[in-house]
Amino acid sequence: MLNLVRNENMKIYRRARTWVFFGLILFALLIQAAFTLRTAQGTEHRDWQQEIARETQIIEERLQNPELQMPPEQRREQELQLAVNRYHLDHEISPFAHNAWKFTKNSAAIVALITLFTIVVAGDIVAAEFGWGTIKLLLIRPASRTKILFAKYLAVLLFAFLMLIMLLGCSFLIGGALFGFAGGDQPYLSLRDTGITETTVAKNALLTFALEPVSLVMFATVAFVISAAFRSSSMAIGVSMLTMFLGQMIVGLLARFDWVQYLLFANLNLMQYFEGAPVVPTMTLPFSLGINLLYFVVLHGIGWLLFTKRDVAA
Amino acid sequence: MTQPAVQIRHLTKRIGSKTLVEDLTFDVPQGQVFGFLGPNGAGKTTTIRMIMGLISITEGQVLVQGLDVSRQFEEAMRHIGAIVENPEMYKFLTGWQNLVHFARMSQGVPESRIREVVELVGLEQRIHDKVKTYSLGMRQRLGLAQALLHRPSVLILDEPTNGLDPAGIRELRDHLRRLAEQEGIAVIVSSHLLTEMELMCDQVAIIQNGRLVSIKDLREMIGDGDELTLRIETSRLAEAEALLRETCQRQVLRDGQALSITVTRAMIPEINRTLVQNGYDVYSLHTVSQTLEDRFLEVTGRGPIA
Ligand SMILES: Nc1ncnc2c1ncn2[C@@H]1O[C@H](COP(=O)(O)OP(=O)(O)OP(=O)(O)O)[C@@H](O)[C@H]1O
Ligand SMILES: [Mg+2]
Repeated sequence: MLNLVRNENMKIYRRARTWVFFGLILFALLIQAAFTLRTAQGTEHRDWQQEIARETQIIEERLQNPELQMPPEQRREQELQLAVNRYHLDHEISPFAHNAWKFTKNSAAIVALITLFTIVVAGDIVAAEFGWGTIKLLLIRPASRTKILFAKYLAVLLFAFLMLIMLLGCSFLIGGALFGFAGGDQPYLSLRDTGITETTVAKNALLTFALEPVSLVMFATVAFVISAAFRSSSMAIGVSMLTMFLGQMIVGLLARFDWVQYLLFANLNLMQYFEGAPVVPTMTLPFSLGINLLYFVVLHGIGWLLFTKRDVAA
Repeated sequence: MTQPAVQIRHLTKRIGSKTLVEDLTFDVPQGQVFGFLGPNGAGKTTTIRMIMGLISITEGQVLVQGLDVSRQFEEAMRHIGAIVENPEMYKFLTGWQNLVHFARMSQGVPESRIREVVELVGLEQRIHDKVKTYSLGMRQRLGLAQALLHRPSVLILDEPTNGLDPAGIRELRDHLRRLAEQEGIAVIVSSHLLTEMELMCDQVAIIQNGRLVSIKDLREMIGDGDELTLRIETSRLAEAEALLRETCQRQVLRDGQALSITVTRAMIPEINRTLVQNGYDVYSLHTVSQTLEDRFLEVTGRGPIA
């Protein structure tokens, strides 16, 4: 089994494209660093205390104005902003100041890029063997199709996590080198339907990175299963990318229906349980994890069945 | 008696309403080169795919060293090495990396064995180059190398001479004969080329339209009293044809720029003498093992592919 995974790794990392992927992620991080540096320079010389104080005053007035009929959602957002501003004023910490933790948290956006690359690798890993014709040499070894499929999936996950760890590590180091490593213990306030919750910047960054892999794994699974079941890279990659881009939109459009909560896409973003509100108010974190698990098992079941039972006539 | 290396029992493959292979039964003995002969579309590749577990078996059974390939797949596969159709390899890897890849999939293939196999197929010079830079013949050699890595007792090659130059074909033939005779490996070779089969096989199974038509033991067949087809290239073809028909009392066929006549071995010197004495210029005179060719054309015909 270990040897099978080593083989799959060899086939992933001996391809030039894999290193292009790693390069692009580093490149995206550098662009983020450049942007962050520029905005930091832009705000350096301003008197942030005065600015924040004025903004705070405006919000307070707005909240107290009875004529302004603010919808409750907007009101809560304003209250959150107010609390955040007060915290910064009281502790004399500039909200514009950056640090390694904030930088890391922001770099989580690059996980979308990792998801994209993982989809490419996962969508290719089985189908490409059919395309190359090497599947015939692969499946006539003393290793069952189940083992080969499993080894391939493990290799995909390893690849995804390698990129994720690289992103986490590099963004923390780059952020720290540019803005310092201190400040992880600053509070991070976020709005929940239950009110304002408080955590630290560091915890929030780590939480983000702990939750992102769930959707990453699910998209990898979708691409992998299509690849194994239909033996077409372009179909696997195309369909997975399409669902990745359209999934959130579809959920948004269907949000008024209750059953949307059973769609995979409505359960991929687990940050919805820590910031903002879930798609359907009754949804909970265990519910989403359960739905993800269900899709995971059913998808793999289909992929396994079709991969192990179908004739290989390539 | 030792058990046959491969036993094929009532093997049938149907896809939809189409029957690709029907009720195939034969044995491949240990240490023999076994030819699998048939015209295009006869079902050779389909049969080999079933033996290797690449496609499901509709009916019947394949035993490799006594192991049922559909029930004891992993155990059975330890005994087989194969090339199914073209030996496609990972082009972005080197030949060596490809072999390491396949070696890892079997148990107990040390690096020394990989080197040994590379030497055997004569790829030492290019083994560390990427496969995408290989010629077709070099890929065939690499294909043979991966099939031999784990010292299989059954070697299955689907049209292995495809893309080899004459020297390569000859070399392959010698390899296969040596593997069978010295290492006791049962070799199954598919082909639609008769002459190739004659030169290297001990036995030949002829199939057509998915059905076994005949099994012939070649070593036995090529004897002194056997009928042979003689091909004669001579001047004044038409006159020679008439002359031979008269002297031999046999059917003489015009075969392009040559004459073709079926005779016994003993008659050949007499035919030569007759031609020369009558003033014909004889350019060539050679035999084609009659049994197999006749058998093949007779049973498979020259008709369109079914
Ligand atoms: N997946 C399939 N579905 C339907 N028919 C098929 C399928 N695969 C092969 N066939 C048919 O089965 C028959 C046997 O094909 P096969 O490839 O086994 O022939 P072959 O003896 O290897 O021929 P060749 O000498 O051309 O390699 C052919 O008529 C082919 O069209
Ligand atoms: Mg074939």
